[in-house]
Parts: sequence; C-alpha cells; structure tokens
Amino acid sequence: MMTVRNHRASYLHKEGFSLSMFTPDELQQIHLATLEILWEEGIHVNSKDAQDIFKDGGAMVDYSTGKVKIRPYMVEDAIKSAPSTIIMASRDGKHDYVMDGSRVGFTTFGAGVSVIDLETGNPRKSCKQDLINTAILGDYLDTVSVYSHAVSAQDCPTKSCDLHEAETFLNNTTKHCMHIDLAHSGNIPKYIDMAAAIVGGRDKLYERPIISALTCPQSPLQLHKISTDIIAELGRVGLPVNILSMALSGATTPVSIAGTLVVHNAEVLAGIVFSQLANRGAPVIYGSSTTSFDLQHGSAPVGSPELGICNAGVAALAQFYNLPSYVAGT
Amino acid sequence: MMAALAGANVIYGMGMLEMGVTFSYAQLLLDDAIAKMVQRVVSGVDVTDDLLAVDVIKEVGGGQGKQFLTCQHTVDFMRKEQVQGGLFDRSVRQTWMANTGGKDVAERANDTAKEILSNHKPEPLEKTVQKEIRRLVESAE
Repeated sequence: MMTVRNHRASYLHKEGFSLSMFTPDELQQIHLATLEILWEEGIHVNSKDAQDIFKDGGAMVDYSTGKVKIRPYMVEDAIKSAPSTIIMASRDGKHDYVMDGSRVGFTTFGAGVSVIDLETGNPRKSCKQDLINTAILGDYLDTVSVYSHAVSAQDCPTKSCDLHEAETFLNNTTKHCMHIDLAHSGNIPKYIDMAAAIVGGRDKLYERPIISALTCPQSPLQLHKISTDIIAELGRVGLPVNILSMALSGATTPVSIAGTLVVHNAEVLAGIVFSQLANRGAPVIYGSSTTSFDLQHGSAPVGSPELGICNAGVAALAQFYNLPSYVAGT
Repeated sequence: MMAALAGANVIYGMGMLEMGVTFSYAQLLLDDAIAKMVQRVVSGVDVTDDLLAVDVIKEVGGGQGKQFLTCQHTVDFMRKEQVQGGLFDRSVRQTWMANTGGKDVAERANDTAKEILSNHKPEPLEKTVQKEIRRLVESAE
C-alpha cells in the first residue's frame, strides 16, 4: 500500500529545538544600555599602546586615569566589521569547525589547576601529563568540536609555562586548539610562531587559523595589557581571539541578570571594538563565563540556574550581533 | 542545555568540577554522553511525511498484538530519531548488576578514559615541526 503525497507549494520547516530568550525590543534595550555605559562611563585600559589605538579610532581617552570612552558609532562599526562566521581550522583539515548562527558545539573546560587522578581517584595539582591526556581525549571524542586548553601544567617553569602548554596540546590533538592562559606578552609571538611552523608560515595562518586564544576583560569594565596585546597580535595574523567576560552578578556586576548582561556586554564589546580598531576584520568570538556570585556562600557556582540563564542570554546577544559565541554550559 | 537551546556555537566546561578548579577525566566522558543527548534535543522534531509516518501507522493498525518493533520504518529511523545513553546505563538494576558487577557510572567513565588513553594515538606533528616548537619553548626560558 502506498499513498501518493506530493510536494507542497509552500511549507515552513523549522530546524532544531530552541528557546527564545528576549524579544527584539529587549535585545535592543540591552544594546542601548551598553552603548550608554561605554560612552558615559567608559572602560579602563592600562596599556599605552591600546589607549593610543582607541584614541586614533575616535574614543575619548583620559591618559591620567586610563579611562576610555567609546562612541556608539565605533561599537556599531566594530560589530559590522567583525566576521560573522569563523572557521576554527584543525591541523589535519578533517576537524575544521564552523562557528556561526545558532550551530551548537562543545569544548573542554579550561583551565583547571587540579585533576582527579585516574588511578587514585583523589584530587591533586595538574601537571603536563594531564594536559597531554586531556588533549588525547579531546582528540578522540566527537563531541569535542575544538580543544580548549583544559588544565595548567604546573610542573613547568612559570615564565615559559604558557608555551610548554601550547607545545603539549599542539603535539597531542589535531583539532583546533584554544589557549586559555597566555600569561606573558613576550610569549604571544612565539605561540603564533608555533602555529606558523605547523602550517608553513605566518602568512598561511589567515587561511588555516589552527589556533586561537582566550582572554578575559576584568570585571567591572577593565581591559588589561595582556588582553589588548593578545587581541592585537593574534588579530594581525588572522587568528581568532575569544573575548570572554567573567562577570559575577552581585559581586562585579549588579545582582540583576539584565544589569549583569549590560556590564558583560560592555566588556566584550569594548574588546571587540579594540580588536577591530587594531586589525579591521579580525576574527573575534563573543565569549562568556558570566554567572551569579552566591552571596550566602561567597562562591561562584557554575551549576546554578543563573549560569544557564546568563549564558543562554549571551548566546542570544551574540546572535543579535551576528557574532560567533563561546559560552559556559556543561 | 539552556545555552545549547539558545544556539551557542561552542559551549565549554566538559570535564570540569568544583567551579572550574578541578578537571575530572570521568566527568569529561560523562559530559561527552550528555553532549550527545543535548545535541539530540537541539536537533528537534523533524516534521516530514516520512517521519509523520501516516502510511506506517495505517499499515500496522491498532489493537491487540500490533506493534512497531519489527517495522522497516523503525529500523530505518531509529539511529536518527533516538540517541543512546552511552555510559549512562538504561538497564534495570538486575541487568546492570549482571553486566557491570555494580560498577557505577563514574567508575566506568574513568575506565573508559584509561582505555582511550592507552589506545588512541593522535596523528603526531612532523619531526622538524616538533623541533621548531621545542626551540620556541626553550627560547623563552
């Protein structure tokens, strides 16, 4: 038995199951509140180079306090010039991961300072071998879309630790690698050179951006030198930078989630404005580890409903801006 | 789950415990299983003629002894429509005891991590590239 069911002339088909966080009016209001903060209050920037770039780009800079006031048009321009799609290239070309729109993927956490030992089951300080293990597992597991530098190698010398870590994960996974903890400005070019050695030159990184880095503005409303250095230097060679705010509602931002999202948004957008002023068109990721600060326990729980709400809200904001997102979740 | 439903491109945290202080291999493997299930939820409910399965429903019909277990339609779409629990054992207690000897999910996840680590060999970098990277590390010391 077979019934003929012909094509319909019109049929609206929905892909995926989703939740709707905000109305367009609400998103616009969060955006306007953010523009007001960035212009009226501004952001603290402590690198002279970064202050100059902001000034040349049209911001009002007070060199005595480091306060940078960003004009609304600068923000609108940066949102438009930052790419909406980023391909996180893998070194084998088999795991290139596309970040855009509402595609959903996962990554490891980064970067822990202790691990549960595989043999004893007890927590201990993380070391280089643990980083090797997380990279091998990240390489193996299909759900890991890109590898984020999962633990710190605390048995390595402090001043070159970030490079030891990069060497470790680059050797042990073919997937795209995101460095979570570039700690020394002087090591940033060396990190870039490692990727250049893999793809055959710095000029090839535009086509094969096999690494990226994460950097966090300090809440509330500060962009430190290490962050602006990472954004400027990686952007120059076309490598993605994940600008990730770690706002804590009730501590570094208002206790309200809407107010927290405004501060969060101001911090990330200030980083994105800087990125686009330093290297127009450079890939930037809209990142968040924003959650609530538990005012009774004095801790920052990441299993709280507020974390889910904040980061779903952040994903909605990133889509509103047409920017790729990287948020806390699992 | 909420971030996934909101369409975040990369959701981080796999393997993390204790507010980001501690990494657990077992948790990484459990998060892998959870991520697969979340991906299934995100993929939603596809409404097409094939999946509405009106013809199949009519063919099987209703009443005592009728079932879909042996339908070709079930075989054709089971992998697309259903996700397995992976490390999360969906058996009843007796079967779980018989199969695992009562090992809980965290122990089995830890075992799986060890197994992957002893068998999986990621493609290495070329020797000359490895050397260049080593030289860059040493130049910072």
